[in-house]
Amino acid sequence: MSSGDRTQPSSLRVAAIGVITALVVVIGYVRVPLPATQGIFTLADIAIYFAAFALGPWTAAIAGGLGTGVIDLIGGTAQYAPTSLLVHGLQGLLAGLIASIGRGSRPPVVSWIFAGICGTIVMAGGYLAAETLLYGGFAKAVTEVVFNLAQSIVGALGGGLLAVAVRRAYPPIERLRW
Amino acid sequence: MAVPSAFLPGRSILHRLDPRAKLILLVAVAACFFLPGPRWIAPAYTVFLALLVGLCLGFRELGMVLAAVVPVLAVICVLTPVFRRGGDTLVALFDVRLLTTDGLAEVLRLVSRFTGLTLAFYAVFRTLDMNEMVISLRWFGLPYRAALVLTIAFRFIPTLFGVYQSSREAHLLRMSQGRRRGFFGRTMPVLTSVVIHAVRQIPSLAMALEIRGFGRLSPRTSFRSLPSGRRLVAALALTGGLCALLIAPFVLAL
Repeated sequence: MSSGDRTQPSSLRVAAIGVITALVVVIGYVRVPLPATQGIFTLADIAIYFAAFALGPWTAAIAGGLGTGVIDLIGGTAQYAPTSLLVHGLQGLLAGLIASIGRGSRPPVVSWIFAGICGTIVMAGGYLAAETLLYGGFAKAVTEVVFNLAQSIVGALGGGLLAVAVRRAYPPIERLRW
Repeated sequence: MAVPSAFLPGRSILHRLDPRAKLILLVAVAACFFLPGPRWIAPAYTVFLALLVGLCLGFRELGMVLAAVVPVLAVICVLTPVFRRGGDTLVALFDVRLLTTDGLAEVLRLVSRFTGLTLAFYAVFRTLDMNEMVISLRWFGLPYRAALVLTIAFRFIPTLFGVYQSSREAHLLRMSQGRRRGFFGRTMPVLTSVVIHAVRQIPSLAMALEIRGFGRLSPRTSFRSLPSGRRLVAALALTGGLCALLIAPFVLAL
């Protein structure tokens, strides 16, 4: 089975998406304390960008959206689950599609950087729009933009490093791309 | 780090309500917070939801969920009047309008909506087992493969949490005698171990799915099922009645 093979069995795709969704949830529960603001931010974006860079856009989109939705459902913020499903799904899809450009034997750093930037814009913009329209209004939405931007940028950096480390340690991961 | 779960076991009305009815009512209640109508409806529904959560899950649970949203509500209360200065002045300082009637109305609307949505989702997902949620979504038409993905994810979450905790302890032991590292210096090696462990499971899981007949054309069976027959009819009739009650004030106000 070659990498990115379109004849990949559907059982492999279902298994990959299910396991990576669980991975997004687990990594999303690793939280960085921010003492100055008494806030937290999650590392779920690291898992989404890892999936985008190592496993392809569709795994990243579905696992990213479902995983963050599940985090909201089981974490007590279920009202954000539909937004997370859509926003992080789009983030994973866009980042994965851009990262697939120039894919070769070395990590394509330029396309990964561009993927991180576009994913960050989609994620922060998506939450800004959703917060303004659905939840707490524009005033509240604006206060969270900086945190969302920081979370996504850290996610893109961490996801890239994780993708390089895992590809080096486990080369057969290329066969799971689609 | 404990494995999180939203479900709180119990025997309240909410726990006993059919999961499909709960999901339908959740959509109806959420829609009510966005429909145009009299200003008293959103606060009234919010108070009703607060009482429902308090009576079915306990007032301690209600206190916890309200305490979690207080910082957000404070931000809404402080910043929203700055962007809404229409109407009559209610509070002014040195000729600066701090709070107007429009600002106050908007604050009440947003606070009611945010709190009401939080309570509605909390009431449903605190009393809904994730397995029942997946089966309910199947009943609503979710494709089998999508339901299988969710089932696999819920099955692997506790396993990967265990791997994370073991990897973290192992790495802490390994790093205890070296130079001190920051949060990311400690966390990235652990995440790498967890990711490799997860990815290695995928081919074996795919083989197990195929051995169990995944991809065959014959009709699928299901190990678990939801009630059908009279119980389902009663639950759906109750849901229809409650939805009609929820929407009635908006219709009467027209």
